[in-house]
Amino acid sequence: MLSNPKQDEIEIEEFHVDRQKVGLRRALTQIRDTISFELRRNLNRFLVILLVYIGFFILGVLIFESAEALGLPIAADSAEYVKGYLELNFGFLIVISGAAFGGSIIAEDYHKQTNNLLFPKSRKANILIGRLIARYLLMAACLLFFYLLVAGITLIKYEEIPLTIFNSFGWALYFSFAILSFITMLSSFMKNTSMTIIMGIMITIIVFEMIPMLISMSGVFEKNEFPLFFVLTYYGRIVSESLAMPNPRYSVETIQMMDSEPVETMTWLTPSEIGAFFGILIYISILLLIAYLRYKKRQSKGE
Amino acid sequence: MNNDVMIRFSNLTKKFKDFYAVSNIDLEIRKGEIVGFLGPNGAGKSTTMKMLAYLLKPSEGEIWIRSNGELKKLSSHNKDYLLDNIGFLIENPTFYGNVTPRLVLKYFAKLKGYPRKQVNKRVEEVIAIFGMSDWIDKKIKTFSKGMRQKIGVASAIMHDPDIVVLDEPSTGLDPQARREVRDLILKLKKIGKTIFLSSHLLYEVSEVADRVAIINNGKLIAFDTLDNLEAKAKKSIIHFELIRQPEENIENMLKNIEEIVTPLTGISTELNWVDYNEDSKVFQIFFNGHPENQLNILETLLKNRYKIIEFSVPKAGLLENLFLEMVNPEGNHDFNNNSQNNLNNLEKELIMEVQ
Ligand SMILES: Nc1ncnc2c1ncn2[C@@H]1O[C@H](COP(=O)(O)OP(=O)(O)O)[C@@H](O)[C@H]1O
Ligand SMILES: [Mg+2]
Repeated sequence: MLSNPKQDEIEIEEFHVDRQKVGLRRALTQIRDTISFELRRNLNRFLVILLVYIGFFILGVLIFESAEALGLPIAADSAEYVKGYLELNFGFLIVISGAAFGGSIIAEDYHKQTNNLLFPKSRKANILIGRLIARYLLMAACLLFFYLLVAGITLIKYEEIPLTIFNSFGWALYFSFAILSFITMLSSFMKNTSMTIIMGIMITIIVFEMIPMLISMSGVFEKNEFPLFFVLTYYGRIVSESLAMPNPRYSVETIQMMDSEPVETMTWLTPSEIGAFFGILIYISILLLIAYLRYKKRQSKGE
Repeated sequence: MNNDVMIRFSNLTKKFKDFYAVSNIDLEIRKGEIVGFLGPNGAGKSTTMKMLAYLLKPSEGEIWIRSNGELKKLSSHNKDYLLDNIGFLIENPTFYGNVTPRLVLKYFAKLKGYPRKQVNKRVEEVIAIFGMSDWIDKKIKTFSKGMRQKIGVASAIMHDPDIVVLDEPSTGLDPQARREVRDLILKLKKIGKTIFLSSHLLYEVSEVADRVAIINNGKLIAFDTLDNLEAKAKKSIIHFELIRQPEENIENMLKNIEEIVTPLTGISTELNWVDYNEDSKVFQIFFNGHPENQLNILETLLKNRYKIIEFSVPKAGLLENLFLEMVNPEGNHDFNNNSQNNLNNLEKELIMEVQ
């Protein structure tokens, strides 16, 4: 192979290695080095996801511009215009990017046996913290870029940007961390990255989205917001609704079947700010705790 | 006497549910030596190494590792500290594809607390040792298995540990890459590393190891130098070929050879055997391994007009057979039932001598 003919002549100087002491400093260094390694390693993934966000933005522009050209009613103010972009299933975009950034976070090492390289060298907690931070930073960068684009076009069209866009951005950051935590938890159980991504998207999109529908269809809980607090994706609604918090936070529709009496159904539009804050916090804590405990116990291939 | 022991396994045992993957292993690895850890697939080699790396917890027994001049017992409290002095390559990690070896090697060196200012220099040093300079900045996903394996060995020594643990480093490699990995291992020994190397192939271990530990079904069945293992078995096998392949009367010919050779093999009559392998056209004679007996047998065969063109006593021959026996107890190897019994006896003999 491509070996250097001179390599045999190289004298290896024997010097005493002064390795960093084991302890808190070493732990912090491990986290720091993991962050920079992960940022480098996920660069391509980041660029792809960023393109998806840009594509999504362009799609929004096309839709709203053609609606305007066709003479359909347009957004009344800048807040409503921004909301238009976020209601094009922005929550789905967050889920996709969370799955893409988080899917490999734990499962990959077991699939590729790279855990055997990492773990006599470092502690799992340090690796996990470093990876979460790095991947979250990349995800946040995508979100920031998207909000900048939306703010830019809003400024052009309305000559102002709604101040509530900052609320919305804040909620988007917070909610996306919950999604990343959820994917991380899944990743600690799954055999490989693609399984995690597929399951993550399936569960969030299908299972979590079905629950609110079933709840409102059943009518049992219709006046009670409480059951929805268990639905992770419910919290995503505050991202767009926080641009102009609705009052009340539910809508009522009357459905008239052919023969029967008209039925009133109630739909919760968004959790309250307090509810969302604590709901997401509890979700994140539990998800990350499960992920860590599972990761800690998880052994090499074959369990 | 104990001064140069770097690692000691004492009664090391790992149970998965009711299954003993590793049982009651006692083993010492001394400073600067290469200990080969030989056993068929599923023998418990990786499990043993994972316990050493604290990737698995032993069910019973202890692991002692030298640190600052004394042996210390490995536990969850001191594992980071004790394992700092060991570099591991366990099983076959595939690495992260989307980065360069340089990035990975730097990361691993830093994780282990290698002095930050010297990391770049260290990477260059390891690249030089391994002759990897041409592909150190290419993406790993384009690499062959052999190149990846080299990075694996490199990653194990990035933080410059005194002890290197390599689990089947040449599995799945082509002969050229195998040779390169073997040369790497010898280089590591030359720069003073203590090496614990597992393999399921005898020749791979016998090429480099100072001492060989043979493990089967989780149990250590022999641990000594290759020469001593041979000597303990005290017997060897002569291989020879004839100029013309015998086509008929092979039974008679074998009988005749056995008759003239039996008084010369130096082993008791019921253990005697002569065999012929149809595929390789090689005759085999079991004897006591002494050069004198070897010479007598050769002379007698020639005197009896056997036209011998090849005559040898492969160094690893007997161990090879013993080892084949362990890998494949059902038979399906070169020997007939008679020889199988002999080898079974031998295996027992080896076990007894080790104990
Ligand atoms: N995590 C595990 N759970 C159950 N059995 C295991 C586990 N890991 C290994 N084994 C079993 O233990 C035995 C030894 O495995 P291993 O140490 O990998 O063998 P080797 O490395 O010598 O090929 C095998 O029979 C294997 O199936
Ligand atoms: Mg193995």
